[in-house]
Amino acid sequence: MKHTKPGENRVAGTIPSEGGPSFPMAVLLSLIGHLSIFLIFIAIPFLPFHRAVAPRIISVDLVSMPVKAVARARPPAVVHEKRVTSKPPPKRAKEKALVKAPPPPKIPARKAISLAHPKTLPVRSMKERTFKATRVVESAIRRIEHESRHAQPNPIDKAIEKIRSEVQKEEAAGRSDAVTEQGKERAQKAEDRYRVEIADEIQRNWAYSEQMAGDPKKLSAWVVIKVAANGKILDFWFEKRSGNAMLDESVARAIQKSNPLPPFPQGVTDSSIHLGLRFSPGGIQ
Amino acid sequence: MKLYNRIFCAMWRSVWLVSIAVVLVAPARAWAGYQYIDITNPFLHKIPLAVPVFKSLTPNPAEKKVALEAADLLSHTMAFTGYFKILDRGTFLEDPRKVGIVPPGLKLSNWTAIGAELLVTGGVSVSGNTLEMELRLYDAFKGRLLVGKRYTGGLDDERKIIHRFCSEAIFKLTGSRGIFNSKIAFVSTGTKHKEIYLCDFDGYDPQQLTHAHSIAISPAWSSDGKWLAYTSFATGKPDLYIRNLKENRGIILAKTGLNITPAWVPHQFELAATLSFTGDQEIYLLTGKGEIIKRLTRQWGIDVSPTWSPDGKQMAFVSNRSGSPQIHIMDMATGKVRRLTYEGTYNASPSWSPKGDKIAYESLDNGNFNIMVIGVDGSGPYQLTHAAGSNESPTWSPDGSLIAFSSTREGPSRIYVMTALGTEQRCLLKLPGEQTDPSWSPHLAPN
Repeated sequence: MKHTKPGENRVAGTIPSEGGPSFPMAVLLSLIGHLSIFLIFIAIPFLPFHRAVAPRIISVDLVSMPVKAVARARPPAVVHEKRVTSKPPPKRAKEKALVKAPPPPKIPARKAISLAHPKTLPVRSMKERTFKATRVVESAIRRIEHESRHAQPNPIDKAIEKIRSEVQKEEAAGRSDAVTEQGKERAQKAEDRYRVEIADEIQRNWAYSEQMAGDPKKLSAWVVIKVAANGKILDFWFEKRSGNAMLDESVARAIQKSNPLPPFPQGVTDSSIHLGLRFSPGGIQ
Repeated sequence: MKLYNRIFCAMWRSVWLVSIAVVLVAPARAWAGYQYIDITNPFLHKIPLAVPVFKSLTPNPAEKKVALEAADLLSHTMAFTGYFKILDRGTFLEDPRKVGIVPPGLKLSNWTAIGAELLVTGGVSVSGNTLEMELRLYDAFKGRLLVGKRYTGGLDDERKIIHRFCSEAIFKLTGSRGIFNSKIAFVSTGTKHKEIYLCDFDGYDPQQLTHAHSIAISPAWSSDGKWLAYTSFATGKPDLYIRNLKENRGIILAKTGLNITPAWVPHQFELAATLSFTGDQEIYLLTGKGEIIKRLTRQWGIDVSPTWSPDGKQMAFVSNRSGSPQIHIMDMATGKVRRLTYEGTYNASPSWSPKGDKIAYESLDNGNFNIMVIGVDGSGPYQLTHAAGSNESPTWSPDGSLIAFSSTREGPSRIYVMTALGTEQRCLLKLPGEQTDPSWSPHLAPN
């Protein structure tokens, strides 16, 4: 039977399989201590005060911004073009109701020109239809003139005005209520809007020739820029280079060209902002 | 005790695993610590380049004309590559003719302010018949001189000087010599016969090469640009001509039957061509002197239009072995042949890209041919021409950035150029008759 001396084990660097109970106990205690620290370390990011600044990745489609969607929905002019619409979709009908555009008093001709049955069109007398249409138009003009004198403000305009005033209020609220939860939320919104705005600004200054770079593979460069409250770019660095010098240089130039950026809008309380930008021209191929 | 050991070992392993996980996860969290916004579409797909009128360096009045001409030529030459957007001179904030063509008189901030990323300034002096030109390319944003050269030559060397500078500039920017020292061979019927012509890369200075009053087709350049092989019907049947362009000598391979579609092996004085002296069209490897080295294809049917990979290890060609004309690739080491194209019923005129990864070819679609590009691995294919007459005979520029081809989009067949992505298709030159069969040369040694 072989006996192993404790000293030999230590020299060999192996964990002693046999020995006094004190060493494993010490290791166990140490382990529990380490585990506790580790658990605290893991738990910290989930604590409420940390959640406010929890990092997140947002992906913004710069082509269809919500602002544009509002602008697109605004013109009510379509509503008045009744002659060309035989069966307006329900949404359009609702829109019509909103602006209270007066329907022509008599529209018998409309039955005849239903788009659902275009073959019935030649059956109707053009003379009769023209006559009625003229009357309809005249009556509609009279009605519109009358209503316009007593008209209520356009509800869409009202809605836009409401949004505008809310935005003004938000901006006016500014730093004073930044400490409250609501204020923080407002500040975050203002900051998000600003981030999109400066990404748009930098994109406008981005000139890159895929043909010149000569690499059709998907590439992406990850850059972080640090912006001061006055819009000055304090610093920028690559978190991940694309591997293509031309793309990386084009990105650096776009950022340099964009300096200075617009100053922070009211409501953004930070002294500087870090913004990550992911340039990936391959995304469009 | 054993159980105790097992528990201990298991815990030890767990600690290690958790530690490794912490090490791996921590940087990832730090990396994701910024809000990222995706920007996927460059606002401008070209690099903004400013080329103000060059400065006249002496009081010689002849210089002003040369200065303007040279600046315009440089703009045109750089724009031809498709890489640059040449900025309108009307937007310039300063005139280097007044403030100087070098800093500190020249303020690069005045050029970045108008969006110029690159700037070329030049100075011209003419003395007698001698033209001296100093040209500089600046990176306006970095405030760095990228290329600065002084050239001396005759008054008629203006084009050469500009091309040489453009070549330097492109080399600095892309690492490639570009296309400025290349020529294009093509077939034209201007004399009522099919003759071979040569012109500069931009269609300038077309010169008739053959005067056989017959039919000459399929020009092919050797890698060193010294030899041109083509098929001529001068003796009444298609023979292969291998011609030295400078020394006006060469040989004629006039075997029985067809002697057509030559293609030079890269960096060797050898070429492949289709011969039919056995009664069957097969591709043979020939020496530059027209001697047969070996037969490459062994399949009954049509085997024509060889084109070599840049390393010479593979050869693409057209074969109807699968029923219809399709492009196949032969591995020269093993002799194995694989079919490359499967889409379309008629694919022909393959041209292997200088980078080696793609093959351009023509594909029949509704009675007209269109230019397609396919990866050597079969990826794609991508159609580069759409509903614009018949587009045939693609050929790559030596840097692989452009493709020349013939097209009937305006009626008679003309030579066109487009980028390798199929954009910026434009007519290269207009000559009497029809122009077909373009073949882009490699880099030619500057004169």
